Amino acid sequence: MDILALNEYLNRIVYGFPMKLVFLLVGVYLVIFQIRWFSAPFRMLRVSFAETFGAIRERTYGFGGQITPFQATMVALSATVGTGHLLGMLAAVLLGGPGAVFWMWVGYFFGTGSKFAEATLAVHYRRRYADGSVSGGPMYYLSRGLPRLRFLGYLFAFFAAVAAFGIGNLSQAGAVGGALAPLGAPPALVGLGLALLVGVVLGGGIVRVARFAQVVVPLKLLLFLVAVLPLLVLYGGNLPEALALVFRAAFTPEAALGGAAGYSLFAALNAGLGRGIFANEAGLGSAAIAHAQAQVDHPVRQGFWGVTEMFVSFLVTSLTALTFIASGLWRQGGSAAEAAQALFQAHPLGGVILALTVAVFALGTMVSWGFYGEEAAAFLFGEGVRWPYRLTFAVLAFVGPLGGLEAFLAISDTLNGLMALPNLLGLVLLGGVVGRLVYGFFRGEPWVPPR
Amino acid sequence: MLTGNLAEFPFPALVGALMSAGRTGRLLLKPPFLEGEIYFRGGQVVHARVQAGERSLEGEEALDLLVGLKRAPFTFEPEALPPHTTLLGGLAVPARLAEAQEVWRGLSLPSDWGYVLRLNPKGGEVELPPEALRVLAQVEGKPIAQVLTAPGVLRLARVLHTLLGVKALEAVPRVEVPPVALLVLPIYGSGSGVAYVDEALYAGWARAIRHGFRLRLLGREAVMEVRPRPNIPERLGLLEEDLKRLRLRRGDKVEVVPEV
Repeated sequence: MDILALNEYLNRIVYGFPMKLVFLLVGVYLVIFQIRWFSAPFRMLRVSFAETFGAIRERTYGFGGQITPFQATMVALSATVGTGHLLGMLAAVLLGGPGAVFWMWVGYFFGTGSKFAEATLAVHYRRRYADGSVSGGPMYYLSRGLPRLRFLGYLFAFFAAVAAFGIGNLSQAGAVGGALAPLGAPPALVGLGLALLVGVVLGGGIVRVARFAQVVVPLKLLLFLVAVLPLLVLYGGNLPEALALVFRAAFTPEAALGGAAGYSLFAALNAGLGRGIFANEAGLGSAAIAHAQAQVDHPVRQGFWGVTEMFVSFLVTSLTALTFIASGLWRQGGSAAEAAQALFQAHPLGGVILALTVAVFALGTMVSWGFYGEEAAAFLFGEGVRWPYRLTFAVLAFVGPLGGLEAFLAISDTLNGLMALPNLLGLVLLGGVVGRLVYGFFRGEPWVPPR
Repeated sequence: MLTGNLAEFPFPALVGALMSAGRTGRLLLKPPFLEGEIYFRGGQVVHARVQAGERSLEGEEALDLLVGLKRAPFTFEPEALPPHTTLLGGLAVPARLAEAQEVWRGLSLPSDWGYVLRLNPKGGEVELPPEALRVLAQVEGKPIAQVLTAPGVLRLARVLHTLLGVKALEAVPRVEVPPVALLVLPIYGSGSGVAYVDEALYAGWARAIRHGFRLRLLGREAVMEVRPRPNIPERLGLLEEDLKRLRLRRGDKVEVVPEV
């Protein structure tokens, strides 16, 4: 078996349906047995909002560290809200039908458990250095929280450091180049611009990455609203029917859709869960690297920011899906790119807005993934690797729009999926720690970091 | 120039030493809460004066007061001459000092006369003579030094001793810590009446106050127990019940000041 065949085999496993069920079950375990959302659901909801949206006016006030909880969430959101929220969402509806959206919501709901636990553990087990900087993420909570399974942390760091070059860089840079090509931007020039931008932002460390994310995430959301709102107004009349279709087609797609395009329950479940898991990165562990940077007095506070990250991602994917279903274009089939072109033909700004949105989405993802990869590499090889990693990342950002390196992209895609294996195992084994932290937080106890 | 502290060289002994050495000059006492001076001319005490705030005493009354000082830095400036004389010198001065010393020995007042007197909120019901009641009515919020700097020093000291002894009054340090603006941070848990501040801020206040203290939320008319908590710089941690009671929410800016 050659390496590409092995890669394809592994890829099918890590993105396969059984793996999606594992993601879901880990989320269910955390939500029900450790975080216990349902023990006092209204209080949880109230506290969740108070700790995040209620704290938005404190966005510039940290707890004495490098970046604020809000900024850390912006870095995570910058990576999470990517092209998967647009093209990936359209692809999920095309593959699974409107019912996929319901299963996506299920994935999102239980994904809040994984994301909450990741953000909480990331802060709890992070390392603080003499200059005030911190490093954290799954590699730290796996190696510090599970000393006998320390290798899981190294495994995660290796997967993340390599995946960041491909899925977090080459494919994103390719998406920017692809989106701007119809507007007449030469790929080499786009690559040069990306390399410079990525190099300058990553070169400033987490503070500059956070400042960048603080601008790019609102810009992403603004562009998304400009792109989607006119379409929502246009197809607004069909929205109630689209929503009803989502629920009807969730369990009996054949009956709801009249057997259209061969949609089945499995297809809806598979495509929907796929979006509900991979769009928000809950369970992959990537966002935890950003959340670890937040300066908070208690890890659980950052856990709530993790849920907010999920909420924003949920709004973007849901609005995209509902607009697409309301337009009726999903019935025509085809690829996600063709469907997107067809959908945005009705937009007053046409394909330009789609191109800009995709480009900005991919750009934000790229910078945050650069930081994730750098942190993972620094965990493996020490602080000295940061600048070589940044330079390599910038060079690959230049190469991305030019195309090529497909084999490397395919391998990095698999490594991206493999990140979930050590992370999910860690979330299950460290679930008790999350439960104790939540219990202590709601008893007013101060946080005692592990030694 | 001779310098030292009354904690090591008590006042009557110091005056006795300067008298027996036949010195001329000024003995200046400068604890933070008052200023006292005694002039010597050829070993005779010829003038004594005490100033505390706007009040002052001269002559024997000033001597009576200065005998009660347990600690105060002093300086002797030789050859300084008195502005006028209020004491006749001779044996009357050592006799007066010995008499005052005897009275002060039987009294127990805080050694720091900068402490402020206030009615004891935990005080019980007591029966007081009219003189004590008269004093009680006049001392609220005043430093001990200022209360004692009045005619009848020893009598006043006895009354204060009684009032403090029966816990009608309490002496607390004067807190001169500027208000701090903090952002409200919810602390989830049961209970109320407790405010949390960052450990570093709490330690700073504790060093400045050196006494138990509470926290006043300015503009809210609330006084709360205050406890240190790690990692909450620039924040004021309040329990949910207090947030509701005070109509505060996360991120509100509140000015707080510690008080004894």
